[in-house]
Parts: sequence; structure tokens; C-alpha cells
Amino acid sequence: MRDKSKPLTTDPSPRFFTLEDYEGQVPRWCSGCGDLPVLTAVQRICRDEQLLPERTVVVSGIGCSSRFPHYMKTYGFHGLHGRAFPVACGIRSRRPDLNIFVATGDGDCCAIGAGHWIHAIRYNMKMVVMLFDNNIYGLTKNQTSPTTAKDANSFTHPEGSFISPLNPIAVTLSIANVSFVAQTVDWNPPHLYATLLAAHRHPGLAFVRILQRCPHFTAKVYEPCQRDPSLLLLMKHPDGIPVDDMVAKIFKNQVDHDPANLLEAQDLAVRKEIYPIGLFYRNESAERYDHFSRYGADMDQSEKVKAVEKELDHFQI
Amino acid sequence: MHPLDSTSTIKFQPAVSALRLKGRSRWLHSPIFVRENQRQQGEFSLQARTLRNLFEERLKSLSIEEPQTGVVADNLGHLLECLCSNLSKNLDQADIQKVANDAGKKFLDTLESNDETKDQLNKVVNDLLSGIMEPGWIVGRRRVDLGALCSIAIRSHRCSVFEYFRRETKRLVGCLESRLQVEFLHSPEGSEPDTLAGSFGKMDSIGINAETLAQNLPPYRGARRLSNTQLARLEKTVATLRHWMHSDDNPEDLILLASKKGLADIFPDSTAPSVKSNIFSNAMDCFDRTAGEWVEFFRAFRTALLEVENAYEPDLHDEAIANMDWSTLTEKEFALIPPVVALEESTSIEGKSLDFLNQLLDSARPVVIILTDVADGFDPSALQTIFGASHAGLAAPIIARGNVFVIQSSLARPKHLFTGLTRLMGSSRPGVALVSVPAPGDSEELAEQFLEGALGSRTTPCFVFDPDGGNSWAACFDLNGNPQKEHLWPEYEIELSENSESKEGNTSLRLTLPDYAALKLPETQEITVIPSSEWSEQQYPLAEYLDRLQTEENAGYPFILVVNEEGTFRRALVSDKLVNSCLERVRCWRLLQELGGINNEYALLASDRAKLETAAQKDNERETLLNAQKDELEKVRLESARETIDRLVAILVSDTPLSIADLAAEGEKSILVENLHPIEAASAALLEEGGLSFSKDKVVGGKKQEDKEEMVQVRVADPYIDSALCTTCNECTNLNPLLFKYNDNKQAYIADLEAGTFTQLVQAAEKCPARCIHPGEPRPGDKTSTKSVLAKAAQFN
Repeated sequence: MRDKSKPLTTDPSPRFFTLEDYEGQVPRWCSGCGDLPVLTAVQRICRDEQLLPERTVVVSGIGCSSRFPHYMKTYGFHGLHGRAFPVACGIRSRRPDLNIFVATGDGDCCAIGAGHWIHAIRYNMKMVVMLFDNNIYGLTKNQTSPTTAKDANSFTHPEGSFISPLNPIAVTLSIANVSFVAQTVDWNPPHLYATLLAAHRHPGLAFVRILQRCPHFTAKVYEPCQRDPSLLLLMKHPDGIPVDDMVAKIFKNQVDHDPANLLEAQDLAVRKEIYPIGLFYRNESAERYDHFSRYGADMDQSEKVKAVEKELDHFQI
Repeated sequence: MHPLDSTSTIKFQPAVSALRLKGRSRWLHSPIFVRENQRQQGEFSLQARTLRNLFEERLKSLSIEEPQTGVVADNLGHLLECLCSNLSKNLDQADIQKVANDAGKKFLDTLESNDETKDQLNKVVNDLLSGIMEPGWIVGRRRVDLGALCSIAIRSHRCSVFEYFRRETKRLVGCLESRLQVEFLHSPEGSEPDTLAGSFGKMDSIGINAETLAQNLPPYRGARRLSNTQLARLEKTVATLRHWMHSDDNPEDLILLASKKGLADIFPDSTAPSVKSNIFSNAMDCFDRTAGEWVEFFRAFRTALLEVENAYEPDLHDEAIANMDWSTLTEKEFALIPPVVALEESTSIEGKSLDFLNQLLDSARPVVIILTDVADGFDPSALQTIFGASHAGLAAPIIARGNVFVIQSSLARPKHLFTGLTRLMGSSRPGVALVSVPAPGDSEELAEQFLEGALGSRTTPCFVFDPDGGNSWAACFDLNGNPQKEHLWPEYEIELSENSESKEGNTSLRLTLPDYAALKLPETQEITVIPSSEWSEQQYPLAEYLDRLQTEENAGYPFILVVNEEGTFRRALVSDKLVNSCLERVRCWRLLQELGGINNEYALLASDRAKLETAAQKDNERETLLNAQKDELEKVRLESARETIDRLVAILVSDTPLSIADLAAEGEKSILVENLHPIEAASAALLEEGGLSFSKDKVVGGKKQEDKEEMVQVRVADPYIDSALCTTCNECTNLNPLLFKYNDNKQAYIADLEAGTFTQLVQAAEKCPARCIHPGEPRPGDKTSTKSVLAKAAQFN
């Protein structure tokens, strides 16, 4: 029987991939866009972990950030609005050998795709979910998204958004069977890289919300945090996101938080005056739906035919 | 004995008492005006305020022009005097109006005013006096006012329950009577023609013959009839209730027992039964009798309540109702019983009388005992106790019982007395009120002097002991009402007139025990007025003398200041006996103060301990912080030294360590080191920057001679990119792909400085969203570095 986790062809010479091997088209994001460092971080992870490009797939919905698959020289699936999760879950159901990255935005995930989001978290199939949260619909040019701050202006709400924004971290932490929730910022590449790497190595669905600057529509939203790191709260713990001391030094506000403590994580998540960054919660022993869904995926053709015929035999008269 | 001078025949008074009570302060605490509060849900409560306070507040709220209000405000004491001199006993409302109007007229007459201002003044005064036109009582410091206060206090706690029981009784009687009526109509007597005629009215006019109707009525065979016992019970109940309803019981009623005729002026209207045996045993009997009568009423009342609800079960209730006595009454029921008040002079409590008082208090019967103490000067031969000099130590043993509500008060503080009496009447415990009253026949002014003197000199201090207050002294015992209770003696600022012979410039005088005793000058033998020729340095004011007693061997002679009607001041020497009494009184007052929570030794000790602990804790914290700071400083110093070495190494291993040397002539960050080998120069400079002390000579060593003429300048302000923070936005690489390049991690670094200009560096720094490009300072010869560019560059360095 063939082991599908091994390459199809056996290459006599060992392959080594550089960063360029993962670079697809030239990104068409605006200059200064916060998506760019995320792209670089993912490419670096692919390179550092030497992921096989043909065994890596990036799935996305619709939105600025969802152009991500085009810029990776791997497999990709630029899907329907809000439907990145079902596609990714579908892939994972039958392909345990692939590395799956899901790129989704705050509109894509938290609005039209919210139902899929909740169930994908619950299914806990192994993948890295990157929520690019720039607080706005950027691709369609400045419409209020679920995470747009109250009173913030947009074309759909010229006099300011009426209701308070949704907190994706708090929502995710409250979903059953959640297994990995982290938050990071795009303007600190070392922390971003460390967070995504930890997410990639997590055996289950790793949900990472990336506070992402949109220089065009919501330039002011994260600017204070970028200029003054004391507006961020670094969550530290030996089991958390490992960060270099030099990086940790710039964060004046730090807190010791054990990622096994869900209640404390929920408390931290709802803090409004400060953005906690780092690992909120990790539970490696959460149940995984892909362990069930891949049943029979390793059967070969004849076994499958046999099985079908056996089933059909039940209907013999 | 000091010889007396010619003025000794003139009556002297203690200066503090005589001068203080002149003018406005005299009316500070008395009289008070008591009126009913707005009733809320039928709750009856009274509010007491001093007239002066009332008038002053009204004056503030008046919207009449300033000068006239000011005139009245300045002469408020005079107005009060006019008012009080006109007040007679037992005023009803019409009388009060008349008295107030008369007082207003008299007051206006004494003011010098022309016709214009007179109208306005009249208006102000009328407005002011209308404040006491509301239904209420004015209570001053006369003996009769004690009786009035008792009546008001009883009213305050009895009135609301009185109304409740009147209302309820009426309802119950109505219900029970209709029940009896029905019963009667069902009986054979109910079918008699006369009864029928009575029930129907004029039957003839509508053509019905009562007799025919009676013959034709079928015998009643309806519902169950009342049993005979029940019928008897109902009838008895109704009779008892009706008896009370038609009695002339009044909410202000009290059952008064007074031992002596001398007390008649306190309750002039009441007809106290003459007491043959001891008043306290009498009071006990009287209470039992009264309570017995009332318990009978409450038996009827409770029976009626049960009957109306149809819930009376003989098996269950007969015994309980029969066993009722005053101790089983509810609080509300208890409040309805008019209190038994025993009025007695405190001086008569001795020997057998004291035994009877103890018996009464032991029996826990809630009798109100009012003991009057006539304030007529201090007698040092009287027994001294902590709770009062002339009450023969009554309060102390009574408080020690723990189950008796005790107040000690004075008519000088009618508000305190009123509040105390109200609480006492509302308590279901035996209550004892020790009240300082003026001697019968004393003038208003004299009475005031004696009352204030007794209170201020701590002879009969005010206090309230409420056993239900709580579990601690602080909760039960209240020392409020005493003048300046924080101090040993009350201290007053006195204006000495100019012609006074007093050489003391000090105008603040204390009201001490000898001052109170001096009110009885010249009869008292304990105080000797001396002429000014006898004054000497050895004489000290009493308070100072008492202090000297503690420290000096030869304490001198104590004196107090007295004044006669002409305003002549004299010193009056105080006898040893009086000084001893005074010391005793000081000790007693200190004990009282401690009970009242003032200067409490335990509290002071605890506070000192807490202060020490806090100080020690602070010192500890400070030390910890200092140590932490020291450690941190050391750490930073080491770190910076390490960084310095790193940078030094970086400079040393770079290709052109000296290529920047010629740049260093300008700029603050350059460090000039003369006559050193380049490596050592850089090392010394950077080590110094890192805070390490280093002797130049030591570093230089013997190489000084070799490179004598070389001069090296080291720059630290080179352009650089914090690559780790680069967000790969392509801005800089788009600007100049030769100057800026990406490293292996796709993060920018400066590849070739020669490939670009300083302006490009600054432009890139401006565009960089991660703000990680630091352009440094321009290289020499860079023509693009204009002033504006340099200014921009400064933001990113």
C-alpha cells in the first residue's frame, strides 16, 4: 500500500528550497500594506521548515488578504466569499499530508463566513488560520466590517458605525473544542514569525488573529500601537510564543499568562484598553475531526472496488 | 487670709461665665422649637431645632434687601430675648402667635429706625416669626420646660401607634358588632315583632304588620349558631374595646408620680397622686396596675383579631390569651401603654429610697424615672463620682447594671435632652434620666449661668447610655452635647473691656470647676477675692497651676479671674479643698472621655503602634527599592559595556575602520581622542561611553610614542536599518534597489552606501512603514544634504 505522506516521485538528489522558491506573483497590495510582512513570514516558515511546495496549499476567501494564494508559489485555492473554511476543511478531510494555510479577512471570516468559522474551530482540523484584521472591507473600498470600531467612519456609515465591534479572539475562545488561539501584529516581524511558526507546528486548527494595518483606509487605527509599544500587552510564558529577549524588551507592558488557562485567556481577550499579543490558549489534546473524516483514505483502488461491491451485495435478490 | 479691699462688698462673678453669656452666644442652645415632621406612611416623628438656628436659616433665605436683614441678624439675640421674656407656660397656638407678635413689636420699638426702614424691618421680623407659627412647641430652660419635653417625647413615640390602634379597634368593633347583630336576628328574640319593627323602620306606612310577620316567619334553621362561650367571649371583647374607644385616653397622657410638692412646677397641669410610701415602690405598683388594665385591652384586641379572621380556636388560644402579661406584648402594643413617670429629686435618693430604686430597676419594669438635680453651685463636700458630682453617684451603679437606659442631661441643652428623652421613652427597658434643672425661683439669667456652669465645669456632664446601642462602649455610650468635649475644660475667647485692671493680655478663659463654684460668691468660703495690690508672681491661673502641680515642687497659688458689675477684674484665690475637688473632677472627666472614645489610651497606643509599623514597612520598601535600583544600575552598566564592546569589535573587523575618521570633526556624538592608536582610541572612547572607568595612560602604555602624530576620530552615527523590524513593503527597494537590498529573510539592509545619496536614505526612512531605516548623518561631500533634509533625517535617527 502506498504511503501518501511520502512524495510521489522519489528524487535521488535531496531538494533544498530558498525563499524565492515560495514567491509567486509580485504582490499587488498597496505600498506599506500590512499583508506584506505576513506573506514574507509565511514564506520564511515554508523555507525554514522546508515544506514541499507541492504539498502546501493556501486557501482563501475574498478580500485583499485573500489574494494571498496568488503570491505563494504553492498550491492555492482562491475560493468564494466567506467559504475559505469549508474548502480548507474539505481538503484536510481527505489529505492529511498537506500543509494548509488559510488566509481570511475580518469581513470574510467574521461576517459572511461566520458560520463556517465557528464550525471549523470546533472541527479542529489541522491548519493554520490567519485572520487579517484591518477593521475594514478594503478590496471593495471602505465599508464597515464586523470589527470596525464604533463611531469609525466608512462609506456605509459616513457618520460612524452604530454598534460596538465583534471581538474575534473572544468569540473563538468561547467555541467548543478550540485548540489554539493567538494574536500578533504585522509590524513586528519577529513576533509575527514566531507566532505563525508556533501555529504551524500545532497539531490542530491554529487560529491567529493578525492586527493588520491598512495604510489606505484605516491607517490611524493601529498607528498609535505601532509608535508606542506600551499600548500592546505581551503575554509571556514558557509554553507561550517564544520571543527573543531583544524583541520582548520593547514591550513595556507584559503579563505572565499560562496558555492552558482558558478562563484567564477569556479575561485577557475582552480587555479593551490594550491589545494583548501572544498565545491566549493552546490545548493539544483537543479532538480532531480530520482523524475521523480521513477514514479509508489510505485504501487503494481494488480495496475500494471490493468494498463497494460488498455493499452492493446487500441488495442481491 | 488675704485682706479684702473696699470693693469686696460688691458682688463678683466668675469672668468667664459673666462675659461669655453676654450677647448672642447666650441663645446658642436654647430655646428650641419642636415641630412635627412631614408624615410618611403614617409614621409620626418630631424634629427639634434651636430657635436661633431656625431664625438664622430663615434670614438667609429671605429675599429682602441687605441692610435690613443685616440689622435683624445683628440683633437676633435681642429678638430672642424679647420673645423668651414673653413666653409663659403652656401656650396654645393662638397664644404663641400673640406672644410672637408682641415680641416683634417690642423688638422693633427698641430699634432706632425711620419710617422707611421700619416697614421693611417689620416685614423681615414678621417673616422670621412666621417660622414658629407652624404647629409646634417652644421649649426653653425653665423648670416647666422639662415637663413639656416629657409630654412631647411621649407623644413622639405614642402618637402613631395610638392612631393605628384607634383605627384598628374601630374596624374590629364594627366587624364583631355586625356578627353579634346577625346572631341576634337568628335568635328567637330576633323574631319578636318589636325587633322586626326596629329593623324595617316604618312598616305600617308600607302596609306590613310586624306581628303578622313575626308569626309567619319560619323558625331559623340556617347555618351553625354561635356557641354560648363564643357569644360571651365576643360580647366581652366588644365591651372592652368599646370601653377604650370611648375613654378619654390621649396620646400625650402619662402616669405621673411625684414625691414632693416642690416638683409641681415641672408638671403644673398634671394631678399627680399623692405618694404615701416610697415613690419607686409606688411606681412599680402603679405600672403593674396600668399594665394589667392594658393587658386586658390587648387580650380583647387579639381575640377580636382572631375572631374577625374566624381563626379563634379555643384549644389553642384560650390559654395563650389568658396567660398574657406586659412582658409578652409586642413592641407596637407596648408603645401604646402610657408610660409611668416617676419624678424625684436626686438628692432624696439615699438609704431606703435607693433600695426601692434598685428593686424597681431589678424588676426590669419599663418605668421612666426622672431625677432632677438642681444646679445651684458646687459644694466640695458632696460625694465625688465619675458620673456626676451632685447626683450622689447615681448614674454609675445604674449604668453598671447594663440593662437600664440612662441619660444625663441638662436644661441648658434642651435639644440633647429632647433627643435623649425620646429615645428613652421608646425603649422597652427601665429608663433613668438625670436632668440638671434650675432652682425654683431663679431668674432666667441666673438659671442659665448655673446650668451652663454645671455643664461646662464637667460637674454634671451630658451623656447617653443606650444598652441596645450595640456590643461595645462606643456604640452604647455617647458623650455628645458637652461643650468642647475633646478638651479638659471648655475654652472661650472673652473680650476684656479696656478699663480692666487685668494685666493679662490673654483673652481666652477656661470654664473650670472653681469658676462654677465662684457663682456662689460671696457666700462660698472656698474662693477669696483679693485686691490688685496683693497680686504676685507666685499666683497662677488654675489650669496652669494644675499643670505645675505635676512638675514643680513649689507650684504657687491658683487663682481664677472674677469680675463685678462695674467691669472691675480681680483675682480670686482657690482653696486647697476646691483644688482637690477639681483634680478629682479632672480625673473623672478623663475617664468619661475615654468611655466616650476621646483620648482613649488603647486607641492612642494602637495608633502609635500602627504608625511605627507603617514607618518600618515604608523603610523596608525603600530599602528594597534602593537595592533593586542598584542592581538595575549595575545590570544596565554591564549591558552597555557589552554593547560597546560589540560595536567596537564591529568597527574593528569592518574593511575601512578609519574611512569615517575625517567625518568626526562635526557632531556631538563624535569622540575625539588624541595621540592614540586607532584601535585603542576607539576602545577607550567606547568603554568610557559604557560607563567604565579607564585610565587613558594605562591603555596607551608604551605605544604613545609610536603614533604620536596620528589623530583619530571615530563616528558612531552611520546609517543603518533595523532589519529585524522590516516588513518587506518594497518601498526602499523600489526607491533604490542598489542601495537597499533584501537579506535572506527578505528584510531590507543597506547594501551599498555609495550607490545612493543621503536624500534617498531620508526619503526611504520617510516612506518606511516600519520606521526601521535610520539615515544617520550625511557622508562628507554629499551635496544632497540640505538643511531641510538634515532636519527630516533627525526625526529618524
